[in-house]
Amino acid sequence: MFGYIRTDRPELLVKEDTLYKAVYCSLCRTIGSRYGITARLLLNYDATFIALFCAAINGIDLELYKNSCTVNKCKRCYMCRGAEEFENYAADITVITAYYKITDNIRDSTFFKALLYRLILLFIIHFHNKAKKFAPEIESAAKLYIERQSKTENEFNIDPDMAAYPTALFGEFIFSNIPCSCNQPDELEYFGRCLGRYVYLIDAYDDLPDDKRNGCFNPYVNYPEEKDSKIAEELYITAAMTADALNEIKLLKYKDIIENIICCGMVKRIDSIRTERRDGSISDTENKSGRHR
Amino acid sequence: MDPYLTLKISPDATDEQVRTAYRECMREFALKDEDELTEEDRIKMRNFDNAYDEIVAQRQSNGGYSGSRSVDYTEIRTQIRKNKLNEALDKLNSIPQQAKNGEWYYLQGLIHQRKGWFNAALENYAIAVRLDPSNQEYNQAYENMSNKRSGGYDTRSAERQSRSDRYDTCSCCDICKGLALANCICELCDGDENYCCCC
Repeated sequence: MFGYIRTDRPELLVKEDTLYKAVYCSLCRTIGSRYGITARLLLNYDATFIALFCAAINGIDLELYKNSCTVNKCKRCYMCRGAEEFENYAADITVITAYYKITDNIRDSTFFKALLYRLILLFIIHFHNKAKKFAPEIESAAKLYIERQSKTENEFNIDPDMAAYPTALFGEFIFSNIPCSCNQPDELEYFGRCLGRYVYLIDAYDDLPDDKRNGCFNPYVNYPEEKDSKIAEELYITAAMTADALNEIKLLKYKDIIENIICCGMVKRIDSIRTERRDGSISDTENKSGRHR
Repeated sequence: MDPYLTLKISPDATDEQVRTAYRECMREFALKDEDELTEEDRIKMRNFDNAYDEIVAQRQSNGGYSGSRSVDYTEIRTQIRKNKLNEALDKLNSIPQQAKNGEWYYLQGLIHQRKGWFNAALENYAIAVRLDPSNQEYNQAYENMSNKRSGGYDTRSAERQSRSDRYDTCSCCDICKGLALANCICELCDGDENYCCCC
């Protein structure tokens, strides 16, 4: 579910890549100071995007400075000032969504895997209790949408549109509630819906072979195996419509990095899963015919 | 052939059941690529389309809808523009089956698009285009979404595309050519035949 909203690094300028990494490192420091050292393990690139997007839409000029890495004190890295409020927002979302993702995994996993997730949950519960006090509205929204998501997945004949909708609505909530002085609520809601849908569907596409094997819910499970290109087409449409939604929003700064993530990074993720799937099926075919790669 | 038999439903089926049956019949062809469709597939698809259109036309002519055929969709368009999607959808669903034309399907497609239901939006745009092939608005909406299927659609701003293209056109041959030219210029200026330090 996490880590699908990332940059297409070769297309970034060095200064843009440096800024992106600085936001990531600052977020790591913020999560550590707000929740605790081990909470840093929950950090992901999706939260980095949210923090950077908040700075972009508010026109905040992030000031870079060199600091030592919070994990490896011998390593020097860039961090940024000016985005503390947005980093707190992204940190709260990270912890709350990680908590509900783990509870969801416990429900869908086999016995031993569920046991491992329960162990992880013991650590996260403490952070989650803190997050409930910091951001009660995010907590109640996440709880509502997770319940709605699992209710939807238990119904019959669910197509990808219906399956992705609860996550899309959670995305709408996240982007319509960002600390923002701009006046673009409808555009932000639509962008959030598109991004939430993308995150759900690409996760479903990535997990499809495992879900088929384990009998877990997946909106693409009834698509014929040779129709992988049809699933990719739906994802490409989602990615392109998300990019169109971004073009409706007025970003005051860092438009290039945000565009790189949304217009290039999303398609790159889809392509990499397709290539993996294709290479995997070629090697399966060769193995079956007795030849070795 | 009886259209109800073609779609494998009873004549007492509701409008929603007719629509669901049509979608079910077309689903297997929707999963195939354009060049994979055989002549037999195309004939079957045409039969399903004709059966659906015939049932809709029959119900329109027999229907008890006594109001004007031309429903005022302006208010629904205004609601969509103001992002009042649920109200617009309720208003749209209150229109009887007999009055559902290209505009109805186009607006439903638009609502689904704004909700993020892109698969349903594309289907609705396709039906709108089929019912009213000359309408530019419907064609544009359908093509705008359909063209994005391949993944090669570049949605970056024009400035960023041109910057990327500039770097893409600089190949090894360009670098060699540049160095050779610089060497010639340096020889002309310096007068000796050695390579100057800048090359």
